Amino acid sequence: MKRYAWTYFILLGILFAVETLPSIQVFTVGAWTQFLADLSGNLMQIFDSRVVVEGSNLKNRETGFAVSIKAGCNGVEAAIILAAAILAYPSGWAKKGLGMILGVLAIQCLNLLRIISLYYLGEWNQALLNVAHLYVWPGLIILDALIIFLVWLHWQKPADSSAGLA
Amino acid sequence: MTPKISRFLLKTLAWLPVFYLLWYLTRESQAMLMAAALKPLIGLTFPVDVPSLERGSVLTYGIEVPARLTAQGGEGSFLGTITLDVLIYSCGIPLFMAMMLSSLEYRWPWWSLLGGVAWLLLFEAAALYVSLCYNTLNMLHTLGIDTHWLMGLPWNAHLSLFAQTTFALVFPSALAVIVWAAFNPAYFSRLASPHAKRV
Repeated sequence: MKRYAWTYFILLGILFAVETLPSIQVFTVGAWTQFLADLSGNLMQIFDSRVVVEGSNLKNRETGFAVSIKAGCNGVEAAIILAAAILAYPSGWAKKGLGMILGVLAIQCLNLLRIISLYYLGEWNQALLNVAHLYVWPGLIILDALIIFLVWLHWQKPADSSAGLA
Repeated sequence: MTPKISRFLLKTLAWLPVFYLLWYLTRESQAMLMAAALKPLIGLTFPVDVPSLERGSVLTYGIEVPARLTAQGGEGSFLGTITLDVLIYSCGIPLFMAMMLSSLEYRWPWWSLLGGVAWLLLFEAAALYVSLCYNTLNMLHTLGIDTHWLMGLPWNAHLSLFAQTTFALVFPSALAVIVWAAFNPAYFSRLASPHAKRV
């Protein structure tokens, strides 16, 4: 357990140090954030024709209300937390790879739901948008990462489960 | 998803609104507690007196910077303000409480609950202090002032973003999960293992 915890925290530090490098922020995190804005805008346009995407903003063309998707709103941090937890666990690389791909995908799906829900919450009530955005959704995304990690651990071979965290 | 994990998730989601409400209602007390906890540390480390004002969950710090340090120079000083929302740094506490009560098995884990909240409050104070420091450094840098005035600290864009990402964005909720796992290793292992039994 101690060894796992140390490996996890070291990996977490390295991954966050890399994520906050200016070049990574511009070319990778920034590009991903823009992709998320486009994707959530396109998804919303299926059922709401008033939504337009302007840069990284989702805007209501009738009321002018807009939410901006910025670094920190893109699920990258939760994905890093999950990736570090999976990478630090003593398991095969194939299982780690599959766990990370499916896990990050699940986090990003929930993040899309988060972005869309925040847009409509903000249209309805600005105060509730702030509460949900700043305080509630970060906890739910981390809880999602924990559940994905638990499911991934559960999926490990019995031999692996006795060698890891217990 | 396994029944054990589903049960844990559903219980946590059921407890969350209760604890979010309690936590939100106590925001003013939290701000007062954090202001009191940070006062001696700020007094020891900042080069000037830094008065604070609590309003709701927001702490506002006034930092008096000597005008001679600015590019224009001159006499006297000017007041820069830094505002920090305490709730951003403590939003892991309701999640921790909900997870603790969802992993309840035979008895109420009072000591684990109190111990976990104490760790999270300690982190909250540390994170607020770090945030005050990097926000002050950012303010000084924007004004063209040598940031070494503040405890000899240099300004670095990467470090500033790293501190903001980790202390204000990631750790408040991530630490709740880490502290919960640390206080419930047996329960965590049972959730994670397909063959483990209750002991």
